Amino acid sequence: MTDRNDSLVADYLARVSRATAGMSEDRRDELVRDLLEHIETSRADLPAETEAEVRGILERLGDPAVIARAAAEEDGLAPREDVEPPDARRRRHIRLVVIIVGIIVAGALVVGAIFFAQDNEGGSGVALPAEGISSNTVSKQFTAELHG
Amino acid sequence: MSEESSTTALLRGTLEYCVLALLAGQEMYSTELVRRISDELQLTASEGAMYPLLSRLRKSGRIASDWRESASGPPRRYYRLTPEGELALNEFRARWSAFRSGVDRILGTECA
Repeated sequence: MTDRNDSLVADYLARVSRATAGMSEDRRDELVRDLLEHIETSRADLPAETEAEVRGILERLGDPAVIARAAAEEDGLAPREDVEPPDARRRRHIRLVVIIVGIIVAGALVVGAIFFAQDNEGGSGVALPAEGISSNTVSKQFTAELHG
Repeated sequence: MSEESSTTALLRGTLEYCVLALLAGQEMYSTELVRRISDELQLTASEGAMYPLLSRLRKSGRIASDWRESASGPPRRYYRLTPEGELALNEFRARWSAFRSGVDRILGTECA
């Protein structure tokens, strides 16, 4: 019974190891040691250990993928915020501008299509590209303003 | 946003101060600390996700730990709040009160 439970624990920790393969070895060893301590302490606190209880301990610890995500986030939290290179900030800024411009263009196209549908009932889609061009001009002006 | 990820987002800024606050009252060994938080915040399926946080708090010097023998099972790692952790906790308490009132006003969740 205990052998069976030991192998459940070993399997679980091996899954954690695999899920955190991208982390440095130090960090991964530390995490696995912390989890092992948690499991062994919890097992020692059980009056009489059953397989269901050991499974319960592992379930409460959670999905190894979720633990790996939390670990990756913590790794990112500590130093990265202050050390972010200005380049990355600029790229984020540009991405934001592209998204905003995209939304404006899409909005203008929709508005244009509605006007077109109202003004030329039964007409072809010829007016659509024209609307597209005018909204494009607007978005270029917008981009220019954003960039100052 | 899924329920899980919105909970994660809420926890990101607050969980570490819950850890510090629990340790302000008493020393706790790691399993005890993690259990207590997961029970209070109803996070029963992700206790393991708190260990990377404890590791960061150890390294930043906000909490300290030492190993002690136990009557049953392996030695246990006991955590305590450091003066630096206490300072961070008090600063957060002040910021949190102001922040929480603002959010409550906006959400309409003030308890009259």
